[in-house]
Amino acid sequence: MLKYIVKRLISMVPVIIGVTFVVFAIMHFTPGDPATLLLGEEAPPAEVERMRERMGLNDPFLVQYGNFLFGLFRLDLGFSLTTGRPVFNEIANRLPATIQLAAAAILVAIFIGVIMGIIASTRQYTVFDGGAMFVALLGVSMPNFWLGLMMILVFSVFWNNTFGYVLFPSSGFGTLRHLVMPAIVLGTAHAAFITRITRSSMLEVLRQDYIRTARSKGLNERVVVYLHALRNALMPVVTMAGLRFGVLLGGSVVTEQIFAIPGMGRLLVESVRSQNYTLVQGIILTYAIIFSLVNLAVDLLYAAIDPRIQVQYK
Amino acid sequence: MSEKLLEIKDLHVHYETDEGTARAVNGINLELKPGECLGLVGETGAGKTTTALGILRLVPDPPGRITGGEILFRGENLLNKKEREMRRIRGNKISMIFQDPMTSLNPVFSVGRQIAENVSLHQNVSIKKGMSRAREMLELVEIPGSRVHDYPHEFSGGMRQRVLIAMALACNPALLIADEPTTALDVTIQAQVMEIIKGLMKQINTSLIMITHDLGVVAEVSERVAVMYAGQLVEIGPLRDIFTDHKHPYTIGLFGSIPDIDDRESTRLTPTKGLMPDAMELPEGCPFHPRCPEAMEKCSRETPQSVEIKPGHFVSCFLFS
Repeated sequence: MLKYIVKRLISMVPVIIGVTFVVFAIMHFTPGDPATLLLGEEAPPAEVERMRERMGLNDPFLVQYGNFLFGLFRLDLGFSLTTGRPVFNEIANRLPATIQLAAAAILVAIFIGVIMGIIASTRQYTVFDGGAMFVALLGVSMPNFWLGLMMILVFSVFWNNTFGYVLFPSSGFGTLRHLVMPAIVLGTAHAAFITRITRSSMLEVLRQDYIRTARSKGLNERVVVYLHALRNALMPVVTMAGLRFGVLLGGSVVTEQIFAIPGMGRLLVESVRSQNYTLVQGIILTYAIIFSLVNLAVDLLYAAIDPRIQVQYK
Repeated sequence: MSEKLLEIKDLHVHYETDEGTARAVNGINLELKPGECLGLVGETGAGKTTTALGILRLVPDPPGRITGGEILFRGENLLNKKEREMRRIRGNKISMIFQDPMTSLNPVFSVGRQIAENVSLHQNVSIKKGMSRAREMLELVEIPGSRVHDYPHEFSGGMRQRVLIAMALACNPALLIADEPTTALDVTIQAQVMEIIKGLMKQINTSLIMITHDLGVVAEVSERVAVMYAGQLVEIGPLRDIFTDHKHPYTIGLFGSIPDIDDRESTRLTPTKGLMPDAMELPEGCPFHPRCPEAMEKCSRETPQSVEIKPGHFVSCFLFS
């Protein structure tokens, strides 16, 4: 198993180098001169030229890319063009908030999604099934900003007016109470996907012979559903949860904006808008690494769930 | 009365779907003594499995429903039991082995865990204690106890069926229902599995209902044979009677479709013409009359009652009433 993990980690290296090349190339051939951007439109051309020389922008493309890669191995991603701080630090400042939010949101999504999916599948074609599917539909179609604003209105504003204190703070980050509302807003949006996939996967598994065997042993229905069926039905759910977690780690600009969370989503949008190419490169590289790691985690979860898959991981 | 382990009285099971009602089991009467082995034979779709699931009250509902009758197990009607009481009987006093061993074991739990689950549930012991019982049971079905932590995919089909047998017998049930336990296995493995079932039945004095369409299997284990057709029992009697002195035209047809090794000259078999009726559109009267070579005018109007023609040998046919 350990050998498999190491193998997978090593195979991530070429993928990530590939990503850096594509990103670097795109940023390099995008119109706009970083030196001009840095010094302002009115800067004398000689000044700009000196800056270009200092930043290495006059070197051939491959030399620039080589320098970038070389820096990468020392965790040196260059400096942010807007703040002048190291890109590494900029990302390190924002990443924890995003990871916490994504983790909390995916937990909310899995909790809601799996439970509603099970309820829907065990009572197929009943009011419960229809209700769960309706709530799921509501979850995806409700805009994040609307639900966010409504929650702020209820739990921060009205609560404060009625009870004299704020139940959940409307902005900022740091404590668990800050995390509750944004996690619910993001979680409900993603729960719908997990509800649907849990339902269909459970319906498939509940028809299997081994479920009949389990019932014939005299197990009660809860054990049959939550132990015997759910574990078998979990595979597609884990796949979906992994994908959704990846999306969440990309940051949610809208939710971060509403709750004033210093996350990656806003950082990326800001840096693209200001053509802050070093920062964009850094962020996308971070995403590539995170996505690869999440994929690996999903594959390892498969093996933990299903012993038949462990055999393949040699 | 007390010497009967199981008594089924006028059992009816229907599947109610949008297209109509499929009458899978229509008024079955059956008795079983402790330690007795009964063979239940019939074509696919005759209602054998539905009868078995009915005994355990595991007919999938919806669409299936037990619409009438009584199932007395040690004198108590199982159809009046609460679901909780039923759960204490399933896997404990009445166990079932299913047809396809490849899909009947849960792939994500070790075989030992699956056997132990049964033991710990009914004997109120920890899974850990159950595991040692599981080891014992595996040895009993000739699987090394050291494989208790292995998963179903690591076993062959025959071994999986033996695991299922071990699981079904782990709590020493009074009744084992084996639903075509050898159908999915190849012939040599079939013999092996039958040997094990036979041996264990003697060892722990369990009654057996062997459901099959394989008359060879029936001949090997049963003391009595019941022949089922379109949800009804057409003939029931001691093994020897049914094999050598069968009376019902359907049973005659059934045995007519077995090749006779002493008479190789006639290369053609003499199977019953036609197909079993659709359970949604059962004919009036005796369900066999449209295919019956002996059918009379009466057969399409009335359903024949079961008649005892010899001690313990019952036939449902107007030829004998």
